Amino acid sequence: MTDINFKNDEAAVYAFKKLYGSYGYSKFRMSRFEEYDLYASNKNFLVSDNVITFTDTNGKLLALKPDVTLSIVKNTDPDKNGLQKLYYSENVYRVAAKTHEYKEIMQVGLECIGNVDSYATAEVITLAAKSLDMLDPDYILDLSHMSFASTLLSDIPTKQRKQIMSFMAEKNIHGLKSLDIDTDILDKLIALVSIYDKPEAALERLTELNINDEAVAELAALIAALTPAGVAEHIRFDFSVVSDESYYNGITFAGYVHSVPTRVLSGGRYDNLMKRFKKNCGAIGFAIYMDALDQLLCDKDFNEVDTVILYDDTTDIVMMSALVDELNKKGEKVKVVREIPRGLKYKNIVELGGNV
Amino acid sequence: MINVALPKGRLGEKVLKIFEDAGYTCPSIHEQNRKLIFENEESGVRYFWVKPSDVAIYVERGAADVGVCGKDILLEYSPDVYELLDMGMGKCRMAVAAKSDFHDNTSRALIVATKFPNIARDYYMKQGRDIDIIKLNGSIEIAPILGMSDVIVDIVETGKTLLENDLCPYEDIVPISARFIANKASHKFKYDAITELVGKIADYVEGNK
Repeated sequence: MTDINFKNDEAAVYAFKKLYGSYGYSKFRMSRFEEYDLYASNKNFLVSDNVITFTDTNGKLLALKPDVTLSIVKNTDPDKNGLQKLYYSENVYRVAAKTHEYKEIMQVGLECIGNVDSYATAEVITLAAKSLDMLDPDYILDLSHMSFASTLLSDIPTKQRKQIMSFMAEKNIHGLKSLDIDTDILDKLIALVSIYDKPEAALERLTELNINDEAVAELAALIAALTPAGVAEHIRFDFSVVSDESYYNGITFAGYVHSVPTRVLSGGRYDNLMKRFKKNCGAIGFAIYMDALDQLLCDKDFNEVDTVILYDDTTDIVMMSALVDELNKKGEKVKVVREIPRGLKYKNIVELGGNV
Repeated sequence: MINVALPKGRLGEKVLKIFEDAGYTCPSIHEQNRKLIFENEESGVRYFWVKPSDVAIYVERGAADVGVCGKDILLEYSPDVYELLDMGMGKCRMAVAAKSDFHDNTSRALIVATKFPNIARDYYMKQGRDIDIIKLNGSIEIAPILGMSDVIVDIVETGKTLLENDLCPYEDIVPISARFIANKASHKFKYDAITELVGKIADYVEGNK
């Protein structure tokens, strides 16, 4: 086990907010409800299409928000040249994929909306990396670029495209081979999915593959910008990170920390989503899945106190209050109980009852 | 150390042999005892036996870094894992089977008995056929014989069981074989070890085709 920086998820959320604030991002607060229409027309953007809905007093159909990004996109009015930097920490409501039960999930993330240039992109990725680093210094940030797959698949019908994308996400090379596609494209797809490397080696390989020079140049510039902050060494290029093309374009990324078996952060460039809202500007952002961090961030010492004070009906309450206050002032964690709870760990015990 | 989830049963025994032949030996797993987890520090593996349908869950949740399970399980549960290799063994197919005199009555919903409700639902949805699913956990073949269902969706290996019960394969859905899967996070943090393992297994499988 590596060192975990946080005692619990509240501490982690607090630290994330502080980090984003220090880069000039401002907090975006929103209502818990959103008109259902917003989600109905963007179902594929959501992780699950089950949304909790209800009718308000005017008969309008509302939803408990399952996602924050859509609300931010809807409610911000970016101008083309400016750049809005926002972060959020909100509860979202989703159906757990396996159990089919509704879950309330804490989500923290940030969005950068407007004229997203190469600096803004590097900044967002740096913040993603720093967030991961705070959770566990042994982290990996997978970086991908949508343009490689979309260039290769430009002439392939949508239905087959979906199958190819899902094979790519599984790194399923035998699956790709079983499909009926042009051998030249197939070879390049397999080469692309097989890349899993540090930036330098991966960029070399990408240049050789010669699929999309513009995207290679963009990635190379990004890596150069990430190097001073020490982020580049945690980056792996992985083109199995594919996202829905109708929302995402350009750079996408996913974050993992050593002690958690699933993805804990994901993000990317989503100009296409902006276009769907008729907002002509760029956007990039990421979200951290606090639910995936549950095990990592649980209070390890939640059942531990410094002193247990046992009392009963005969105890002098005034004296006991004074003692608790005194111990508290020394910085001790004190638990006053009539009976020691099962499994409680403590250093000292004080018995104040006559019958004890 | 790589944690490997092996499917209990005949397939798992074969898989273990392949892993051992590829150099990932583990003498303790052949001892007669009641242990559940077997480790060999030297070859860097820790094996454990689990129910075949649970392999994907152990891998998805990261309790196992890698595992081997049937494509049927992957299709049914769609776990979030990497599917790195087709082991080319345990070959069979997912198929619709029915009584030999079955005729599809399209004027009502088709009643389907199966262990794989998601695969069945997906298959018939693509055809636009309305179905009524009965989820069973075993002895699926009895359902159409007793008239409880019109058809079954199940794994067919040789078709012998079907034939002996006056059933026959009606339509094939998808070919099935054993797949080598890996947890997504493990694949990143133990990249070199897992890639070496996959490479050796792939060479072995290729050499024995």
